[in-house]
Amino acid sequence: MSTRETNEQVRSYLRSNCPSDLDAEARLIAFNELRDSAEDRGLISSPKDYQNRLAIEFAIAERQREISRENLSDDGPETVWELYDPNSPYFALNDGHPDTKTAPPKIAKNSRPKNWLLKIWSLWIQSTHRDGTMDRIGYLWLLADPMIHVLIICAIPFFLHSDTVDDMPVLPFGVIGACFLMTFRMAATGAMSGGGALLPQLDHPTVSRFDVIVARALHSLAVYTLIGIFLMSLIVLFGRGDLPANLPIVLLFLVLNWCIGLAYGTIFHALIGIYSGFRRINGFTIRFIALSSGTFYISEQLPDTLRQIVLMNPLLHSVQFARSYWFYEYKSSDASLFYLFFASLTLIATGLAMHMRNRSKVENVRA
Amino acid sequence: MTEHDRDPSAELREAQSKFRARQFDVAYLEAQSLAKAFPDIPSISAFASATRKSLNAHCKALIKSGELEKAWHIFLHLSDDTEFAPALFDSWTDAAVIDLPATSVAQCLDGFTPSDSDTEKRKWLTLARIFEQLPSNEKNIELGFYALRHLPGNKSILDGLDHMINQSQRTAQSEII
Repeated sequence: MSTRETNEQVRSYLRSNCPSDLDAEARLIAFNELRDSAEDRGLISSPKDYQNRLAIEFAIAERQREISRENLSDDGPETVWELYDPNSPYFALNDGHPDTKTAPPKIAKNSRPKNWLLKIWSLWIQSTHRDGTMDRIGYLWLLADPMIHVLIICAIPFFLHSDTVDDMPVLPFGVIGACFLMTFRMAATGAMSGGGALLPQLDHPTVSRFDVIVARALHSLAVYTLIGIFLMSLIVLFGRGDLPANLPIVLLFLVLNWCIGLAYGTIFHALIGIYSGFRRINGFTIRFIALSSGTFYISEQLPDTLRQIVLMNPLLHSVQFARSYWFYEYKSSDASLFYLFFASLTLIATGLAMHMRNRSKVENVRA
Repeated sequence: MTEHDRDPSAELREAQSKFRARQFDVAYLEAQSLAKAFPDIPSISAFASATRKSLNAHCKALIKSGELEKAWHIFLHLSDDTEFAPALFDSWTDAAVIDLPATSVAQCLDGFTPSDSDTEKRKWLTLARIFEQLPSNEKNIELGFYALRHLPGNKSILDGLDHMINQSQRTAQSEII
């Protein structure tokens, strides 16, 4: 029997034995019965008679299409698979057709800055929401907890210096130092501690580990900027300090300070992945950075030998620049813009390089 | 060996050491067998649950890093798991049809029997997507006819089969000549 004859015979058989009101399951059974008995019905000579077997399948396809056209409903498809099935009249994938000969395109990683910022923003909102809903007054703690930290750190310069530090009022002096130190420290901790609540988001094809690290670290910048502005406003309101000389530049140094923290955290995140003992070393390093960050003093007050050591800390430079641009009374003679940018760029480049080295390694995806 | 002869603590320690050595699949299998034999011991149940979650995370990480052959090997251990398997299967097929050669995808899917009908449907639709790229041989032609039993009238499979059958006949004719 020729393939054309087989095809026509099967079509006429299906028209009479497979009515359009049969549901999908019953149709499947009817088609399979036809296939199983094809040899007995004389439609194929043997299982190797591929041409006639194919003719049967084409006839089935034609009947499926006829039934689909007859059963087309205004209410849409019965199952979601019909949107995906190219034989279905509800087939929805006109672009990026899965049945084309070329492979479907990869999901494009949208790297436009606006979209990237939106992604970071949404990750940060999710992380903050998770932290804020862990307790009945979780959102209050999100601000109260770091504010208490800042106030405790502020108390130290208050005890060390009587009323002013090199003509700067001691309260705003302490608040700037504490906010800068805590922004650095929390950015580093956020970047170092892995995915946390955002870990499941890594399953999303457009979310990378770097996005999660940035989103986790962003929390510190947002919180300590808010707390800094709030405390400084109180200080100005109660006459314990003046308005800033140049607020945008101070905020710019805070962002740079955050970037340094992020880079430091990324470096240690990678190092801890190589050898977990770096976690202990980080404990000492971060304390040394805190002590030499100029939170409680300015470098100009220190003896020369000690000054040379603390000036190696880029955090000290950014804190002193921030104070220089906040207070009219103080201009730092030690802080170097060149050193600060050079050190920051080196740290950021090292952090990114270590992140790139680590990102493809499965074992480095930490909770 | 009967259950009474077994030392659950020693076996648990051994499985834990394999887990620490990052042999997640081996640790998973041992933990599941231990959990089946000693369902009343909480530390074994907890470890079995932990290995199950770790294996899922490991498989996801392998898919993400493009090690799809390894991921499939790991996935087969979890293929009866109703909680993790469907999502893992979806991720794997999405990645595999892009990155693996069609023959590898077909080979992997060929012997896989999903535990739920949705994954079953997805399996055949995945095979349909790659069918036009498969080389012509008897096994692939039979696989095509078998796939049509699940997706009657699928255009990709029909086109792929038509192409493979024509090619096999041309090869047969040239051999005769």
